[in-house]
Amino acid sequence: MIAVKGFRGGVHPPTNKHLTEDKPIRKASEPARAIVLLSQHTGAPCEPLVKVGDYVKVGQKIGDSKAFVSASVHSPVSGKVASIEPWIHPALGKKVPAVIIDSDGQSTLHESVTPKGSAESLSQEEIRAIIRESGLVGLGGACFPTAVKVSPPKGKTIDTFLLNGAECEPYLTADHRIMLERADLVVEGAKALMRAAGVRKGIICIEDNKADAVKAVERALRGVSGLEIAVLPTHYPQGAEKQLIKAVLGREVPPPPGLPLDVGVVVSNVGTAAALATTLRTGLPLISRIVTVTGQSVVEPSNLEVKIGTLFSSVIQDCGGLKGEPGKLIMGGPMMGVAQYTMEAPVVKGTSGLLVMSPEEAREEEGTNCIRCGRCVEACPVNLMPLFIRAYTEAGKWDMVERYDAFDCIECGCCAYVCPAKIPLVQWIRLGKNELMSRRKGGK
Amino acid sequence: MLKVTSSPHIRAQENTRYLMRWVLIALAPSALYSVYLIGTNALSVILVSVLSCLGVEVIWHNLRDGKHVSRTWWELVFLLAIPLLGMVPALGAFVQWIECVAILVVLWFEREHRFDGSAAVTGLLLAMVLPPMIPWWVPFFGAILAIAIGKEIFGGLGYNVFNPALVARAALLISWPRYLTAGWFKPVVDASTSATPLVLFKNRLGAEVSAVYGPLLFSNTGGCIGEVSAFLLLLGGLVLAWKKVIHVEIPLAYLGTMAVFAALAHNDPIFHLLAGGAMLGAWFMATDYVTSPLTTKGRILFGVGCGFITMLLRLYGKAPEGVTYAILFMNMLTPLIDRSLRPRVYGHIAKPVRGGK
Repeated sequence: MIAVKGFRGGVHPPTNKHLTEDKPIRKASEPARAIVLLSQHTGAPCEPLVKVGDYVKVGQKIGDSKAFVSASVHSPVSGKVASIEPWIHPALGKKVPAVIIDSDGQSTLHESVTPKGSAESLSQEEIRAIIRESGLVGLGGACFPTAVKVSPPKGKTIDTFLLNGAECEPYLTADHRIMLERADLVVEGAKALMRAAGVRKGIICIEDNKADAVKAVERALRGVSGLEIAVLPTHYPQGAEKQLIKAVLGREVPPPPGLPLDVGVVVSNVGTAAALATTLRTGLPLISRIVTVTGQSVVEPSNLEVKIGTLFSSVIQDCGGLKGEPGKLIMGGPMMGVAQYTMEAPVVKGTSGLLVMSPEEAREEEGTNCIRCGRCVEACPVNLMPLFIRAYTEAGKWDMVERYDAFDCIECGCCAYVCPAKIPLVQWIRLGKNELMSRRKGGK
Repeated sequence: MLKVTSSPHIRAQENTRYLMRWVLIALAPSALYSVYLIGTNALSVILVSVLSCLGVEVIWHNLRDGKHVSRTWWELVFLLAIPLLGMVPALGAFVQWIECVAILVVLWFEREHRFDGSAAVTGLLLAMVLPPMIPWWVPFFGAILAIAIGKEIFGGLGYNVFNPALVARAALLISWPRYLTAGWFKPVVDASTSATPLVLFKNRLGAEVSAVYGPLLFSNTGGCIGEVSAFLLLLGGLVLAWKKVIHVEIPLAYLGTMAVFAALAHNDPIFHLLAGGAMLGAWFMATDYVTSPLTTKGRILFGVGCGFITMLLRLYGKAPEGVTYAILFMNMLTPLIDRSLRPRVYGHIAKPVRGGK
């Protein structure tokens, strides 16, 4: 067990994980129609590889890009391509091209889906190629292509691989259930990721509100060398890459565009590791993921294994539907998740959870002026002074917004969470960052 | 209809009213105890001060926001006319109560106004720093000064540079020193003195009073309404610290500095901590969010500065007490402290030197 160092700032919101933490992962029903967005990751969007009317099989690659930072997409079902048209993207809030496949219900596997081997039997290059081919991205929500992450540029040495099982977002229990039920896959995937990245030391980081997951992973680690567990006190936003590195290793990633690589660390979600292990064992690319469907308004909160491309509305139906009118539908957790304006968006690789809030829970309290209480300064895990960034953004003093290091904001939402005046601080900071960015692009 | 907002989608329960409510709760024991000891004079000062502050806030906000303008003007004239009743001999003694009722009537008309609680806190704090035996219109005028000049003129809650209650006290002290430096509560047990312990101390009578911690802790000294019991004030301050309403760095640095300074100057440190406005100032005035720094280091510096200036004024100044001016002076430095003591941003190697313009 590793002695953890912790990080400054942060908050302790009610975790509300009791709704789903005891619910075993179950398979969601097969979608009759899959909507596979061609841009489900950070980086270049994919080009479709199929045409309308083509017959595709499960696991067949249907979109890819030649760009280095990108991840291919695969068909989650077998059937006919009904159309290729723009569809709502749940994280971007706008329409992006999507391949829409009508399932024939047969789930016929594509020829490429064959077992690949194990972490020990494959070489570094082979694992990297498998990761790239399977369209694997960070499943914690950021969706950064894993193939890029495990291929550090020359001259950078990585000494530690962190497996992120903190799951600090309230409500979400997908990673918890994965570690509990599929600990062997997590460990197998971790070994493969470490081999791909050329790292010998790995640490699986788990918050202490998941004691059963810690035990399960400990069991799976018996006889495995190079991997250890770090148990961290529950503390939001510990699952944020930079805070996790600080908490476990005491190192600080340089300011943007600094990356964990710069301090010799790669961080990957435990769900990503489990997905990679599944690919190695079965050959199936990333066509499904675990989604926590939760909230007081959901009849039967669950942890579901859902095919990518299933509509949110049918995922919620799978959980018994809703009690009454929904107030808010959030993809992800309540601290950093994205509110949806429609239930007809599809599950993407980054959909860690679907949280439905009642209209009562979604109600916003009217606030007051900033009373300079300093709670936002205390809560900021990056040590910013959110109240000043907000004030300068509101006043349009862009040089001051930059001087108060708005670009270092990780948008964890702690400042807005604690604010007694109910000022949407992080939202103001986002606005300030966007404005600064567009000014830079405009050459000002 | 799905509501769409930017994250986060949950908020902590504490709001501005909650924080203000706790400050009022923490001050309540001291205020009630002084009413118990002093009687109706203290009650009248407290009521006039708190109600007037609420009234001024409502009237100012209505006129500022253009809400119920004509009704508000009538309310203003009504409330300002009532003191004239004091000239009628038969009513002279009751006029403060008539004013209180009148303000309550106005507040009832304006019951839709959303009070954030800050005016009530300012009103109660102002009453605490006034002597009980003063004409009722002193707190009335003080409340107008505190809310209008001390706060609203800067832009309202959160924008004022100085602690509103102390602005009012300083202005009253200069305007009517006769009332503000007399009219102390006279302790029942020891009727021989009508001066405060700090006044006695100033007049080189320190040796006689410095050893009596009991009276200072539990009421038997002369002073302002809020100075009757250092013990109850300390208790209130500790409650605020426990509820994490105030930042404990400020009172600790404040009182710590005072004690060290006193000891170095061969004075009794405990006497200085318990006498006068030290407890009230350190726990309730210096910790005002709006006018104190935002970072831990800044707050420590602020507290040390307050303590230092307080002792400087007490030992070498003309007046016996220095808490008011010490805090007002440090209030002035708060923006500078906030700008120069910024925390080191995660991942940045050096401290930011790019603070202000």
